[in-house]
Amino acid sequence: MLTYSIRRLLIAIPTLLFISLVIFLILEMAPGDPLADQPLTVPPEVREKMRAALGLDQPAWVRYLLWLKQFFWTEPLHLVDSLLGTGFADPAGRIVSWQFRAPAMDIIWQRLPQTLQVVGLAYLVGVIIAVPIGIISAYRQYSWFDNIGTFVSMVGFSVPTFFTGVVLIIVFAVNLHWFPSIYDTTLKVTDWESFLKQARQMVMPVTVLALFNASQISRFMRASMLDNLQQDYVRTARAKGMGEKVVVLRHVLRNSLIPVVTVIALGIPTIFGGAIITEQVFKVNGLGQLLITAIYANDLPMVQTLTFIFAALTVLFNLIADVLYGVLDPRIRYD
Amino acid sequence: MLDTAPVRRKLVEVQGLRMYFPITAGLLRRKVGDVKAVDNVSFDIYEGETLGLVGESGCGKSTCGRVILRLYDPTGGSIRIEGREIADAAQSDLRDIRPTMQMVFQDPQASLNPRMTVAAIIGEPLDEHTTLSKAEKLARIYELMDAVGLNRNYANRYPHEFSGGQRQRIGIARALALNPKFVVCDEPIAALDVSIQAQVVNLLEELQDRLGLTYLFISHDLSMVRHIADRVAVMYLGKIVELAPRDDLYLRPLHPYTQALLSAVPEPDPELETQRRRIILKGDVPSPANPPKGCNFCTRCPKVMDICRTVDPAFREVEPGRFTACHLFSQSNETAGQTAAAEARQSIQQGV
Amino acid sequence: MRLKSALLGAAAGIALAPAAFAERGADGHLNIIYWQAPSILNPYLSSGTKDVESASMVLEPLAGFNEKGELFARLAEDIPTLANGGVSEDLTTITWKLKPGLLWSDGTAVTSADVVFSYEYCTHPEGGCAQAARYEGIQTVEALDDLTVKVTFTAPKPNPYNAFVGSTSPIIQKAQFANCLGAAAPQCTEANFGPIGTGPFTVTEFKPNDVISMAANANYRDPAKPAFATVTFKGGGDAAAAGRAVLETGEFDYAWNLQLAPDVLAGMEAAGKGKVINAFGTLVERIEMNMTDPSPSLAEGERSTVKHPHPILSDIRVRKALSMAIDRNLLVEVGYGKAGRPTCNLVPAPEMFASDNTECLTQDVEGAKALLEEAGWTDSDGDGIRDKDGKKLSLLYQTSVNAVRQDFQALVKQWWSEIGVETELKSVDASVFFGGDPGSPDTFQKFYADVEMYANNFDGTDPEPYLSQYLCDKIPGPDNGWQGENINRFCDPAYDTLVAELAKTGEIEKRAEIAKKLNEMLTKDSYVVVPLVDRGRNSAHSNTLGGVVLNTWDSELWNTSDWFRVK
Repeated sequence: MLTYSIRRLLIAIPTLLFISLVIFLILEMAPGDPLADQPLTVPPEVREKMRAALGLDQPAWVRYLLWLKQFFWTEPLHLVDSLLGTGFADPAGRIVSWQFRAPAMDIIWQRLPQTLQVVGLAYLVGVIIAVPIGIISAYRQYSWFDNIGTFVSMVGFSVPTFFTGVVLIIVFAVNLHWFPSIYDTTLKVTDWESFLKQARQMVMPVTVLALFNASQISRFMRASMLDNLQQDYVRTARAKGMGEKVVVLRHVLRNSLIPVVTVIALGIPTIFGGAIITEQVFKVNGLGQLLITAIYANDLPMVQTLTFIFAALTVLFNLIADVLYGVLDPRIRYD
Repeated sequence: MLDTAPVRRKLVEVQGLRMYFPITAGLLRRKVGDVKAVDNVSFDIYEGETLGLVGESGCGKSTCGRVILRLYDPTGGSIRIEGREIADAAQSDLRDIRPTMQMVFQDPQASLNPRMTVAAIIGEPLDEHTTLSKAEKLARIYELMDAVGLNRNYANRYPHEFSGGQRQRIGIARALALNPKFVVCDEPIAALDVSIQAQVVNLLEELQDRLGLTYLFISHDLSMVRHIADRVAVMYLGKIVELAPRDDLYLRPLHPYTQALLSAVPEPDPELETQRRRIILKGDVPSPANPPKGCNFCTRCPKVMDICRTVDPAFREVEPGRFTACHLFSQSNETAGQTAAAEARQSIQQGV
Repeated sequence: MRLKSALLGAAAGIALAPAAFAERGADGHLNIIYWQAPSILNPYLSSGTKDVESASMVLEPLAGFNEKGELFARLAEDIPTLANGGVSEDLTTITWKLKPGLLWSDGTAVTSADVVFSYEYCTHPEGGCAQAARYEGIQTVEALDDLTVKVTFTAPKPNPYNAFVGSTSPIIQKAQFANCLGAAAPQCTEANFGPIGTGPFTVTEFKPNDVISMAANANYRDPAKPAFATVTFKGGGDAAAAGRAVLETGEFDYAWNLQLAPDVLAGMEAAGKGKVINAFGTLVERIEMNMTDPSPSLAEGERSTVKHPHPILSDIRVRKALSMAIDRNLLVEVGYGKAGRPTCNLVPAPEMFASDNTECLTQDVEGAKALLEEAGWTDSDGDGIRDKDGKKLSLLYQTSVNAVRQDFQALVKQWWSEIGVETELKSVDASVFFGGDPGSPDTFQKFYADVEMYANNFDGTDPEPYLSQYLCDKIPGPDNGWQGENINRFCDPAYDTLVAELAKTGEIEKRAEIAKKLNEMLTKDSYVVVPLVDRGRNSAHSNTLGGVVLNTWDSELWNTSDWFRVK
């Protein structure tokens, strides 16, 4: 398993380099100009100087190599610096976002907690409610519970979050005044009251995303349970005189979870990607909003860095999912 | 019967057993009919004997075995194990009787939980039904593994690491863990190589001798059944058409279906094989969802009579120890029956 | 009349009185939402409105503009003029005097050195300053003493109120930015995210593209202001959500620039939590006529260049007919409601610069048809499209992707088809259209279309730089990397001469007269620019927020020091 993981990680290096090049080229070829959002009243000479200040006067391959050096050398060094208080990295060499004129990684770190809190919690909640729903739906296939579950997950999956989000805002924020419509990212949880406030403002975004996640995962869970419920070993377990609880939870569930765990693991990078739309709708302003605003502003270093991090996480979690599969399923061995 | 043998105890008594699976259709999954997988089946199994249950695939023999162990909830009828009625007992009440009755499945691969080790698979029923200590359990697991001829060192391996024959041994060990009295062997050798089949069958026989087990041996392999069974029941389309002691049945089958079935068994002796006269049945087996009126076999029976198409023949004892459901042997048609029996005997003798 | 306005002023004074006598920070917390989130708080590194306006609560210039477009002193003692001797007779220098005793929010004194530094910071050749235009034509900026700064121009500057005037040209603290000159500018993240200023508020925390937390500036020059102790300046989302948060849920006190359909806005306002305010500036949605031939059959590098005059639009009668066919009132109704008014002027405001040109406001389809007939465009083959010499009167009409602009395109196309002009519509993503990428064929500068529609405005109140965009030598073309501002390639020596004259004129009345003339030369005299709508701005504030005066000549947040809570 260890050698397998190491081998996979080694293979990931050229993959990631290739991905970074593709991202760079796509961004390079995409139309748009980082100064597009500057008003038309800015004269062309000034524009030209601003472009030069962003390094845009360099040829593309120089900028790509520079980015590689920044991402793989300067940024890790800076991380070491900030952890150990050393001074290896030259702060001038870090990846600088064009729109903020600030190190991109600093902003990413700043945004991470918001995204993990809201999108991560939503994912967790989604998984927590999806698994039992999937189990019951499969165990009582075609029962009213299963039918309602199927309907709800169809709705959750097919109705876009910008719709459910706005509906929730109009119902619960505008009409009922239960929850705020705008997420307060400056809120710090220090006591019970601020905790309640935080919980209140998280309710709607988490609900919207959790519904979406749960509908997806509960379908997987249900399908996997149905697969396993029909297996002979389940009959064996019943024939052994095991209680239904043991049969379902120990035999069926544990086997059904194998593919579901993989699906869940593969979904984790999307947490870091943030939920672009949901973050926008509720003004959570996490990584998703950071990415979309960077795209709008043609902030290429930020877009490149973020998308590359997502790509790296996807590659990593693919590996984790594979390794997990090996751990969970004794039939699979990586030697 | 009374004077031929000491009174043997009936371990399993099945009366009028029916297992219908609903067919649903349409948007609202309305029930539109039933698949009559087991339809009014009655037989007894005596303690220590092996009852062979044979029939074509799809005839309901596996369902029958599973219903008897209450892996399905029967639609009707009565199942008594050691005199205790279990056909309508709740699953929770069945749990304390489960150790008495066990099952060996057809597919040893699929019937073993892939995420459990051999020790866990064999030991799980012990956790559930006994209060043995850990060490005692392990001892019992090893004992079982020895009994079925598995190396003790394999206790911590997973099922996928074994060959088919070894897996079936695990399945048998698992079934025996709780000292059952009655074991349903559901096509235990069908998925195995021919070379392994004999080993497993011999193991089953040996275990029967040693542990005094009672088997319901379900198989479509007539020669294997002939080898292992004491009595044989033949099923066709959810019903038992004939039930007889092994030798009687193989030598002198009464029911036209049994005759046809046996005529299909190849003879090991090439000379006899050339003389063997096969009875070729015409047409397909009717759908169990829509069985024909009258006798189930009437659509394909070479000796079909008018009555067969209207009246369902009763399953009754036509000779001591021999039961069949055929109008050829019904009381109103005694002579015809005799003739037919004679004919049948003749045809078999010609075959032999 | 004078008495009435005096009374009104007095009434307003009384209304504002509670705030005037309030204690600093007595009104607690203020919530502002901008649906575009601020990225940086240094206006010299980004000229995005969101960035400039959020920074204007912290950083201040020497002078600003009020809601009427009039200059008023902020850090300066008063406005230097020719009359008070602050501006030299030859128009080449202006001398500013700082208010005495001014303090930065960190408690240090504001001196003329800071003013000089602000100039140096923005004019550093490697800095890429976004506001460099503000400091154009300046020879030196020198500190005469601690409180006096003299700006010398390279040539007479009839409008010397560019540098250090308005929210785009604020004074930054030398001590904070001393090491941030030129190429080092982007590395001063701390300074760029939390500039030390003289404004009513100071930054306590800045999360870029998300939220700014501010607190009242303890060293603000008016001890009674600001009324609010803390501010949350939230960014992000969309205009509808921002409007909702102020007008419907009441979570926020002020929402900026609500570009929403008129009926949507009215619906939100009906919830009764706040009101929509609007004001007009100089932003004019217009159609520009391409005076050069954009035909794709021409070689790349010759398309839309002065080498080839436009085959159809070079005739003023066609341009005028196209303008006459448009019903501007309907456009306003459909697209902007209260936030728009029809206009025929490129310079619709300030009032003194606005020409009384209203001829185009009435649609005249018949007149347009007659004009086209006169120009020789007739429908000879009866297909409903006019033609001349075998050439169809068919135009490509491009603009950026924007719901209102696409509505406008559809309406204009309809009207033009009524007078026998065939129109092909094209819409380009805004970031490409306005992106200025010389490699893209779809930028508004390249103008590979016959007519195009967009909006533009000018900073501050003086239209001179704006009008001088239409000089002959500012035509975009391959030789200048398509970076000129004379989008429609209008070229008239008389116009150039008049612009030069404007540049030499210091008297404000005279300037106004010339500006009006220039405006008319572009609009009703030539129809190379066909103004459609004078676009105002909608913002909203809650009923509990007082003191808001919407200002289109400077930052909307120009007077947050006067905002207070209505009790």
